[in-house]
Parts: sequence; C-alpha cells; structure tokens
Amino acid sequence: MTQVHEMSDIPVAGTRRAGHRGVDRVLIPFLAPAIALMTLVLVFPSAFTVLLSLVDWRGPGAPMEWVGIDNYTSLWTSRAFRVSFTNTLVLVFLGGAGIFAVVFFSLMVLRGMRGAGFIRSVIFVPYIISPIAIGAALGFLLNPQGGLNTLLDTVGLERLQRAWLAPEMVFQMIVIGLVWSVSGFYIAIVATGTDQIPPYLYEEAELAGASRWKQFWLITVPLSWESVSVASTLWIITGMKTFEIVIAFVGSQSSPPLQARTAAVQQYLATTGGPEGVPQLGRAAAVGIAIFVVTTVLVLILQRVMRRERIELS
Amino acid sequence: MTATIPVQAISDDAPPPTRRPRRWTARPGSFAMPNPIKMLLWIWVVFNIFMAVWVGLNALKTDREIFGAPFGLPASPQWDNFVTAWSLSGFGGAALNSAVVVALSAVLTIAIAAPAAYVISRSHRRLAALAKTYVALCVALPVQTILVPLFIARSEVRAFAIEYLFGWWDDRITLVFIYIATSLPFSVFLLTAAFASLPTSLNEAAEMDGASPLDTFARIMVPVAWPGIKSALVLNALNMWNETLLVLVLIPDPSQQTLPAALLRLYGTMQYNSNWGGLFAGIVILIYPVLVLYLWVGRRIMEGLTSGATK
Amino acid sequence: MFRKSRIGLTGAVVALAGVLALSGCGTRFQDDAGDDPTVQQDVTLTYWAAWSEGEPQQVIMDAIIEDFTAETGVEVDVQYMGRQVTQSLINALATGEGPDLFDAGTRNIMDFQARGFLADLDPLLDREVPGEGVPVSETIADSVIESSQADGKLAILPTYINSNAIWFNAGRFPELRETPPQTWDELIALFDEHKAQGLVPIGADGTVSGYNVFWIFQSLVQLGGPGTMRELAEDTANWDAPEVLEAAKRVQQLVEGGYLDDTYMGSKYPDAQNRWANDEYSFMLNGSYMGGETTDQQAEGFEADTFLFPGEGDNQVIEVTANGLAVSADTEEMDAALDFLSYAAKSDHQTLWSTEAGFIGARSDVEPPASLISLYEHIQQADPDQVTGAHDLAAATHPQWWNDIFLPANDALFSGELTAEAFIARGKEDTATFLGSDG
Repeated sequence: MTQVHEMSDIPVAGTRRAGHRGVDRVLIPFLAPAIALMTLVLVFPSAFTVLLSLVDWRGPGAPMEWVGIDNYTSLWTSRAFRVSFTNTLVLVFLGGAGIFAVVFFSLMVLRGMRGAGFIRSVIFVPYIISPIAIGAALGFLLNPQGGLNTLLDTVGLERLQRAWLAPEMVFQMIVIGLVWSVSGFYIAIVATGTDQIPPYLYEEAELAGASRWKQFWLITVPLSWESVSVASTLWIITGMKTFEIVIAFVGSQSSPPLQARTAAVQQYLATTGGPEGVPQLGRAAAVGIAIFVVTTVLVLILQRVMRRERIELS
Repeated sequence: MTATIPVQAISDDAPPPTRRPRRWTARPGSFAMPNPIKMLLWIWVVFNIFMAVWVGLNALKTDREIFGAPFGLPASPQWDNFVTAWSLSGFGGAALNSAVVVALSAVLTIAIAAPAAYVISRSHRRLAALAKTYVALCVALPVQTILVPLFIARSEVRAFAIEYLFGWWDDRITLVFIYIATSLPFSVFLLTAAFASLPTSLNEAAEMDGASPLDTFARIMVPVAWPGIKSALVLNALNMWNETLLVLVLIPDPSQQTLPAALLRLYGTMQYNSNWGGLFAGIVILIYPVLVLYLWVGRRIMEGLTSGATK
Repeated sequence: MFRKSRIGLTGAVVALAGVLALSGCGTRFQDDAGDDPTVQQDVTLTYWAAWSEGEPQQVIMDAIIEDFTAETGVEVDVQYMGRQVTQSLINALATGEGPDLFDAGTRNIMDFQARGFLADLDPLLDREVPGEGVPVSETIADSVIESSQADGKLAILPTYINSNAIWFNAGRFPELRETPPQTWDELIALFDEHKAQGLVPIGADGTVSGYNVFWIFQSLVQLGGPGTMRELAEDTANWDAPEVLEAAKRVQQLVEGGYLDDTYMGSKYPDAQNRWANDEYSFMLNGSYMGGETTDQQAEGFEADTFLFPGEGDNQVIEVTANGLAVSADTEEMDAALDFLSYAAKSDHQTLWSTEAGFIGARSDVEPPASLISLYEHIQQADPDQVTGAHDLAAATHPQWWNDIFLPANDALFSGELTAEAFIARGKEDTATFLGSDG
C-alpha cells in the first residue's frame, strides 16, 4: 500500500461539524416513543425471561420452582442442545458464506446484464412466500420418490438419487433451502449500496484495463461496504433465529430429527413441549437467552471486523 | 473523519480518469467467470417459475396424481379443490385481518422509527450514542425469547382494557402494538444508515434558512431519505405479512387471525383428512395474488429496496 | 408551529389518560353480578374445540350442540380453533379466561390435572344417558375408562380411541385376518416370507420420529409391560434390564434384516403410508388413524386391516389413548356441563365418531369402521392392567427427555446408525446427564 489518492473529481463530503444544536433540541421527543415502546414490549419482557430462565416452570397454572443456573448448566451437558447449537453456528457461517457468495457473484454479473431487473425480482420471490407453503412444496419435491429423484431418473442420473430428507442429508438440504429462499433479499439489501455507485467509475476502470473481477473488488465492494455490513449483521441475527424452514422441511408431526434441529427449534420444543408434551418454560427461556448472548457477541465481532471509514459520495 | 475511496489500485496503473462515453465491450483481460454464473442465475429463475407453476398444477390434481406422478398433468382439473380450500380456510376474513393489521403496523412503525433514526444519525450527544447501542441490542433479541412474557402481558392488557379503560378490547390491537415494537429496532437500524448517508450540508443549509428542527426533519430530511424509508416500510410489511408465531400465541380466536395462521390451520385440516390437492389449492389461493401483486408493483418493491439505505 | 401543536396533543393525551385512570379506579365496566344459578335459560357454555371448520369432528360437535340446545335451551358458544388450541388453552385456563368445555385426551390429562385445570367428572359416570335408561359408566369399556382417568378420577368423557397396530391389506393377504403372527419370531418369519417373494415388507415415514418410535415402544411394553418405556426416563438402572436390550435388538434386527427399502429414513409423511395404500409395502406399524388417512389413496380392492404387535408370553399390551371432552375446574356451570356431556354420551352422538370421522368410538356398542373392527375387539377385551397410553405416556410425562434424548437415540437405532448395545449405552449416558442436571 503506497499512497491513497483523493480523486479530485469525486465530491466527497466527509467532515462532520460538531454541534447540530437544532437536532439536539428534538433529541428527546424524537427518541422517546421508539425507546419507550421497545423498553415496554421488548426489554421488560426479556428481563422477565431472564428470571424465567432461573426457574423450573411448566407454564401458567403450574408451580414455579427456583433452580438457579441449573437450566443453563443442563444446556451444556445436553447432547440435543450441543448438536442444535453447533447446527445453528454451522448454518450461520456456512449458510452465510453461501448467501454472500450468491450475492457477490450475482451482483458482479448482474451489472449491465440484460434482464438483470427481472432476475433480481424472480430470485427475490421466495422471500415473500410463507415458509409454510415453501416447506410443503419442497417436501413433495425431496421425497424419496418425489420430484427431484424422478427428475434424476429421467435424465439418467440415477446414481445421484438420495433420500434427501434422511438424517444425514436433511441439514444440508435445509441450508441449501435457506440460501435459496433468502438470497434474493440480501441481494436487494447489498444492491442498495451498489446501485448508488456512479457508472462512470466502472467506465474509467474499464478504460484502465481492470477486469470485472478487479472492478468488483476495488469499486463495488468498498463503495457498498455500508450495505454489506447492514446485510451481514441482519443475516447473523436472522440466521441465529432460524426456525420456520426447519419445521417446514421435516413437518410438524413430531419432534424434528436431532440432525435438523437449530437452537431456535430446540427452544420451540421446550416452549411447547413438542407435539404431545408439556412446556418447559424455564428451559426455553435459558435457550432464548443463550441465543441472544451468542447473537450479540457475533454481531459485535462482526461490527469490529467490518468497521472502516465510511465512504460518502454526494 | 476523512473519507477516501480506496481505488488506488485502479488509479495506480491508470492515467487520471476522465469521462468517456460508456463502453461495455469485453476485453481480453476480463475475468472469464461471469458466463457460468449468468447461466446459474437463469437456472435459478427457471426453477422459481417452475415451482410456482408446479404448485398451481398440483392444486388441480387428485391426491393419487400428486403422489403417483409428481410432474404429470392433471387428468381432469379438480376445481373442487379450490372450493374446499376456500370454504374451509376462512381466507376471506383472514386476508382482511392481515391487510388491516399489516398496514397499520407497518405505517406506525415507520412513523415512530424515522424520527428516532434521524436524531441518532445526526446528534453527537452521548444519549444518541447510547440509544444506538440500545437499539442494536434490541435488534439481536429473538422474538421467541419474549413469547411467554408477551402472552401473559396480553391477558393482562386485555383484562385491564376491558375492566378499567374501554369496556372493550380486541387482541388485534395488542398484535399491532407488538408488531410495531418488534419491528422498531430493525427499522431504526436501517433508517439510521439511510439518514447517516445524507450529506450534512442539508442540515446546515436548512438551519441557515432558519427552519425549525422539526421542519428540517419533516420537510427536508424525510423527502430526501424517502427511498430508504420506503424500503424499510416494504421490508416490515413483508415480514409482518408472513409472521405466524405471534399471531398463533396472541390471538386465540380464529376469526381474528391473519393469513399465515389460516394457512397453518388449513394445513392441519388437509393433512389429517389427507386432502393434499386441497392443501395445494389453499397455497395457490394464498400465494398467487401475492405473486400477481408482486409482478404488478414488483419493480417498485425492488426500487424501494434498492434505492434503500443510501439515497 | 409544529412544536405548539405537538405539545397540545401530548397534553391532551396525558389529560385523557389521567381522566381514564381516575374514573377507572373505582368502577369496572363489566360487573360481576349475575351469578344467580336459578336463571336457567340464560346459561351459555363456552367450548374451545381442537378441530377446524370443515373437519368431520366439527360437523359432529355441531350436531351434538344443536341437539343439546334444542332439548335443554342451554346455548353452547363454540369456537373451532384447530390443533393449535393447546397453547392458548393452557394459558387461558391458567389465567381464568378459559372455556367451560375443551378437548383433551390421555396424552394431556395428567398434565392438565397437575395444573388444576380439570373438573372431577366422576359424577358423570352415574348420570343417566338421556332417554336410554342406563348410566354413562355402562356404555364404556373398563380399559377406556382407565385411559380417561387422571389421579384415579374421570377427567374426560371419552368420545373416540386411538391405538396402534400393524396395518396390512386384507384384500391381498386375507389369511392374516384369521392367523396373524402370535410371536415376534412368527412376525419375522412373515417378513422373511414377503421379502423372499420380492416384496418390501415394511414401510415407514422415517422423517417422523414419533412414528419411528412405534417399533421400540411396542417391543418394550410387550417384553416388559406397560410403563417400561416411560420408566427409562426415571432411573438409569432401568436401561440395564434385559428386556430393554432385547427390545433394542429387535429393532436392530428389523433394520439389518433388510425389511425396509433403502430410503425410508428420508420419507416425508405421508409418502410411505400412501405407498403402503398403493400396495408398495406389505405392512406398516402405525396409529389407528392411518387407515382413514389413506382412504383416498388405497388401491383397487384394498381392504385396510390390522393385527396386533405380537405379545410376549401372557403379556398382550395394547395402547388405548382416549380422546374426549373435558370440563374446566373453574366452570360456573358444572351442572349444565355435565348435562352436555351426558348428551354427548348418547348412542346417536357417539356413533358419529365412527361413521363420520372414521375412528374407533369410545362407546362399547358403537360399531367401528370395517378396517378397525379387529383392533376394536382387542380394546374391548383388554385387561386394564395391560393398557398403556400414547407412547407409553413417556412424551406426556417426560417431554424434555422424550424430545431431546429418547427420540433422537431411537432415530439413530432405527436408521441403523447405532447398534442395540450402542443405543443403550447412549440412552443411559444421556439419561444420566438429564437426571443429574434435572434433579
């Protein structure tokens, strides 16, 4: 890294003047409603959840028994929780890698491509469809004698046929299904940044002989850094809560197979007690707190990694 | 803070850039990857369209056909499936519930989130920084974490409203409140980025013209940040439209529930009675209008999203 | 200008809230008068049903309610809330907002009883079924009454029964009606015979862990008696019992014997049962509801029928899971509620569960659907000591152990990932951790 050029023909508004006294005057009235509502509906109940995580409670009507941190210690010794938590992390990192690979590669080729708007719209569609509907349809597709295997059979690829939803495969299918259904959304979020990049930057890079690949890493990524950061934060948060798609894939007849469970599924099982059981609300609360803590840590790490000077074009 | 654009590599081996007419011809040095990626993207598109058509076809099949020939055409279209699904699902009332609840919640969320996001992005007070951290923590909070307290609170709110306030209450109002509160952190988060990206010169100009802070916000900042606000609105509305868990827990009365709950109930009914054609018909009734709406305003949704956080 | 109007509005809201708070403190809009039980014509019972609009069960309940209201003048305010009702129900009953009547069954009455939700229905047993001259108790078999009790008291009026058995097509294998296998070895011999003929003996929707568990459940209770599976959650020593190893070995034998097809673990409900109905598998061990669920899928000449999972020696344990109507412990209309249940117990009404919904009716003289006759007869004759509930009540009594330990371990056994010995080692280890952290 030798020198950093200030490109003279790009107006850059970077310096912020201290003391917007005007803004400060409305600070409290503008913040109050949002902060009040979040406190009332999100923060107070979470405090109650923290309390709940210290008791053994089957829900309203049942006695509450103080157990201290037992709910937490039992999480670490429980095989089901360890597996589900590992799954969640794998899903966040591997699924995240998949999603952002899709995002970057598509944004790289979509720029200036014919039908780009159409492709982006159609890839976005699964995101607006109810996961229940998606799960029902995919289930029919992935059955042993369902759509996919039938297709493989007709094109002569019988040896690729699998029991796609069997324990050893089902989690991979869920990750792929998730990447399929949410990538369009993250493309849209990251595109909020890339669409703002003035085309002449690319034209100039083109003239300078920079390859698409180079243009992407040197123009697209840095200039859409803010939106990449927003998108990856969002992904960590939503990824850590992954729930519906698992239920949609394996159905709700019974507890999902251990191999397919995420931490949020584990929490759901404890909240409801499973299809026939009774709620274990203290334990459910402990799982919820664990998810929250890990999410927060991951988001903080991400913010640190992604932090860099904001680039502002005006 | 200083802002620079790290395009040094480009400018290192290039003469100082000057504007030239647009030219997209591939150069010999171009990276060869894009073509296979383009093809994969088209396969993706075809798959999505195929899924939509396939669900539509299954809705017209008998149960035997659905399982026997996954890709076959229906021998004779079973329009009855739609009649069954419609009459059993209660989609009509549920659609109305969804529309009202989602519209109210989505608009109110933005109305509360935008001012907060604006001051967080602009103020240098410690309080604003604290608020930003507070919001960030709330974003990470999974809604499942607070499900049980919310349920208990729901009963309390209901009892309190009926006995002491109005003599009447509707759980859908509770749902709207909770939708707003649960969407707020994400909205503030997104809108903070949108406002932050606006040039500070706008504020300065407005203040120099003697506009009050409220005027500056309502007359200048909101219109300029409108694309970002619109995208937050659309995202919230989409999330609320598909939200299932809170509806199920907070609204016991089926006639007051929204579409996803109605679909789940229909799923149960169809599954226990093994009417799979009816299930697919229900899915079609639910998603085809959304698809049509999406095709119709789709560009605008995508615009709303893509003109998002940074104007 | 903006500021001013804002303050005005805020002021108004604060003032309004204050007024409401002040006026609200003393007076309630809804007062609690009208507890006078003598005004019979004003009685309304509320009922939250676990059925959805359009299901046969909904049609049946509507018929019962209509008849009841016409006869007694008591209104029933019914809400068909679907199967998601349970969560709302628990919360509502606990906060005193619950209905007078709700659906419950063997699977949850123990929990409901522990929470104090259930009215004691023993008085119902002595009530006369309207117009029939016999008490309710005489219309229902002992094994069914046994399954409808919690803490030794009647908790529900049973309306229909679930059980599980081995399903087969009697149109294709008629001889099995008369001579079903009587022992495990005979059952395996039967499977071998089918396999030798090139048939796939067993079908399974392996993605449903609650179905995979039927094989070990049946093996355990036949070898060790009712409660054998449930007790595995209660003491690690119970895992050492020889019958537990024997039961696990049976499941291993099924997996290793090649009686299932290659992809059973990836089969999503209801694919396998539909294929069974299409004669692609000979047998399925599944709930008594499976015949009804597959009616539309059944091949030409298909006659769904069942035989019991073979017993062991004198043991012939049978699952009897009763489903029916419960009354809230908080109800203020106990008398009307009991009236309603006695109406629901009438022959015309109880018959509907068989004729309309395709279940085994709880009432002894209700003739079940043809496919369930043999199972019905076994239930009627069952010794109450040889009766267990759904999943040996393990799911109902130890939900966390069931979901987190037993079902996953059994999936591993049933998929062939674990041998019988490894299954027991893992089950024992996980149960020890569970008990250690739980106790």
